[in-house]
Amino acid sequence: MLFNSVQYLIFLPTVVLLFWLSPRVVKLPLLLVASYIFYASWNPPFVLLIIGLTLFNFYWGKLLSRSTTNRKKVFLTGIIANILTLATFKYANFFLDTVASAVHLVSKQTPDFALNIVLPLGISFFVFEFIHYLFEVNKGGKPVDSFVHFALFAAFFPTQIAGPIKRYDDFMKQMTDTNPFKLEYFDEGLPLIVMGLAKKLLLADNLAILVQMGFSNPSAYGAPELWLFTYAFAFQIYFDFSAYTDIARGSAMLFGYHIPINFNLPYIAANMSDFWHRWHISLSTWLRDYLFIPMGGSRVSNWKVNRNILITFALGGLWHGASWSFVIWGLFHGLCLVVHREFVALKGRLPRLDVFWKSGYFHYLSMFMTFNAVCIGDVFFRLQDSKQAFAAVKKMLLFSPIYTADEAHHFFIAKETLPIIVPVTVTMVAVLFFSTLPLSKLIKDRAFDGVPQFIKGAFCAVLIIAMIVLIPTTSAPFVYFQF
Amino acid sequence: MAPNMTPTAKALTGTTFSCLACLIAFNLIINALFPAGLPKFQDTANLWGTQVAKLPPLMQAKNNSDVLIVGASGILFPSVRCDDAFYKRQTRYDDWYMKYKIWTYSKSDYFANLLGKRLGKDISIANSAVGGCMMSDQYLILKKYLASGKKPKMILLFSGPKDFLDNHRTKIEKTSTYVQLADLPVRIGDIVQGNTRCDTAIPELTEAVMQSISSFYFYRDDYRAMLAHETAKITHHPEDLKKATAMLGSDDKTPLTKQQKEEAKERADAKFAPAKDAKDLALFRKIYLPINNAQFEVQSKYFEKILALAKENNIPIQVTFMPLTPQHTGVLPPETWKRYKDTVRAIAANAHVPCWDPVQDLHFQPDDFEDSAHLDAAGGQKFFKYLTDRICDDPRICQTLTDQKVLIGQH
Repeated sequence: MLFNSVQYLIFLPTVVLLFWLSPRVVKLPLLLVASYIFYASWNPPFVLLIIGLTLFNFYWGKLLSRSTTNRKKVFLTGIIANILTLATFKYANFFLDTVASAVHLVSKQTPDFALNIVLPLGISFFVFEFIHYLFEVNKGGKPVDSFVHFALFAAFFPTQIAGPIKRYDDFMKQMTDTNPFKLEYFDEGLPLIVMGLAKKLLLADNLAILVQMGFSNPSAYGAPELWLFTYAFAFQIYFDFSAYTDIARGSAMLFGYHIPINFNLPYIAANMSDFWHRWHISLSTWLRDYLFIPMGGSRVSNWKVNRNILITFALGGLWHGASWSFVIWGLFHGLCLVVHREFVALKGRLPRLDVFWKSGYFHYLSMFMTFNAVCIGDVFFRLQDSKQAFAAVKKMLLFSPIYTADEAHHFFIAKETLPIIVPVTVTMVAVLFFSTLPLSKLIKDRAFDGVPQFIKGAFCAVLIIAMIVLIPTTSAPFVYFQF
Repeated sequence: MAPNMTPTAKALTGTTFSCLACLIAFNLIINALFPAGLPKFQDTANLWGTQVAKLPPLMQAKNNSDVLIVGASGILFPSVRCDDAFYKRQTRYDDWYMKYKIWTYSKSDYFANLLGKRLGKDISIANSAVGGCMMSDQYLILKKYLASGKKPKMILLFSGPKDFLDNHRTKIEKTSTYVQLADLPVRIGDIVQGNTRCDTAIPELTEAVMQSISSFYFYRDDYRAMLAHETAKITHHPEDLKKATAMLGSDDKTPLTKQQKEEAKERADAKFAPAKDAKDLALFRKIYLPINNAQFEVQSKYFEKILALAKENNIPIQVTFMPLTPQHTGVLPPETWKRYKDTVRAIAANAHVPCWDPVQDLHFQPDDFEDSAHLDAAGGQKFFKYLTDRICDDPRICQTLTDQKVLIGQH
């Protein structure tokens, strides 16, 4: 059941209505059952997987909290069990394909090891939540007493499939609190859902058409066109994923639950470190807390810090998908962070240039460079074929050729025979590109906070009407569903 | 938001209520601006060539005609034939002409001219007659026509037995007119009032709800198509991939449309002479027989509703029996024919509405018909002259049509 489907438009109000009409003791079990129904709507047998993992982690957390002598062993066993589950479902085929490729290199024969394992939806998200739970219990956190609470923490349908990755202490506290019905929940939740749907259906889905056109055959386009498609993809993925988060947060809000934000104006980041404080915040903080810091974090020697960064981001890339292009994407981001670290150190050694470092010119130049660096990384994210991605990036960086060979001195994108959607989406990318900074600044300065609620309501109504007319006949699933 | 607001005020000025209020207001504005439903763009093209093709433009038309013709093909055909003769146009009797000229025709200029000359004032006529229409369809057309904000000075209702008895249209809610015009309230109203059969009430209601949902998709596609079309016109880009492929693949940028191809074929073997051999009698036997009494009852009820609707809106209405060939009336059992005429007369008399029967005063020759049920140009001219005489003989009707401000028609 997708957030942008008619089924969800029926499912959500039904569950919200039942939730607020039910007596307090029934509320959480009802939400849990609804969450399992939500999950089962994709593939019923896989409900058993999420229930099985929940049971395991619930009891393992209790065991871990009681353990004293063999605590480390219990903790590691729990972590390994979770990682093995994720690896089996998500990486087994990738691993076997890599082995087959290696065999092919040596023996020139290609063995078929494929197991055709189906990747359960949202597994990367709920397994990360379980690992986080075991880490926190191991650090001395109190294990969850109620199975229903714990099961709902993992299965809560707004965040079940694509996050944000929740923290159990925050979420548990909200479940144990008595939440009387407040209309404010709807006043806060509804705009988030409408904005999310508008981002997904009006922006991301339309941009996807241009992106698909460009990245289905990148060799056919010149460098400026590839930059255009990459910008389009950067905006598509941002609107797609942040739309999911908005709908998830809005849906959770209708039940009175607060879910952490996942994006904070990422495209105005002034450097890569800043970018990761603004992009997929729940993942970046998870990687920091449960991967980077346990490896030593930044309290080790300089080269080890850089190594830790590269490992963290390579694994972060792999978390996104079982493909080498995701690993390259992760390594690229890791490398950018390392370069930024070294650059910060260099800046410190050049105090004479302080005026420039602190100037607005440098700030805007940094933002521009960071955005473009993110876009280059996005080529690897979008193109699953690493060779194709490297060729496209080479073209983009060298800015050559400007035109493609078969369309000498003409941009293919400017052809009059292309359907109307192409010039419309190209215009859309241009508008987004030039409006991101001023709009982000307004949001940052909280310029919209003082807008009266009834104006916000009217804006939501306008968006709903626009969506009714303009949404495509079919809407693609959210990009982050595949992870 | 002010912190000292009461909870009710807080709720009412909150995002949720404001959003709902705006959506309701938007809906009310749309209903006020387009009482006959939102204007459709693509749909008119899709309907092109069907019997109901004329309805969307007729409902959306802004001009308020003096006279509204309500009826079926019985009045539509002579209107077209007479107008073709009036404008010295070559009339045709092929299928293409029927689909693309007759079904889409919404005037009766020859008749308007006759009336205008006699009354000494220009008279405009809107012809809402739709081929194959039953009384229930005519009621819906009139209802939607009036709901669109137009108010004629007089309604002329033309009746034939096929309006009451048609074995090809046993379900009123399935006719093309109904599908085109009926909205959810109309459908629910029919179920509640028992106009649709009880055993199909629940499936019909489900279908009505589904249709109202699908109309959302219809409008969405329609408006998207319209926006794409307008943007394409400005940017000179094709609207979609199909058209883009056509532009890339063909040197001829203006290929013949389906309609043009059809016309070319029809032109090649068009018969420019009427077929008056009454071959259609076999078809009418299937339409009338066996006699469906239940249908007759339901359609009679709708006839009553048409008269009541005109009365409610304070519009004078005249009922006229359409002339038919003796062979045609011979298809019906004599008692059914009598029952039909008696029922129409009785209902009209009951509503104090005049009922005219031209065959009592005029003698129609076989040459006056193009087939057993439709008058040709010659017959049509005779018929319209008769109607003009009848209308102009009544000073009260004349006064109404010439804006003399005298309420007439409720005899």
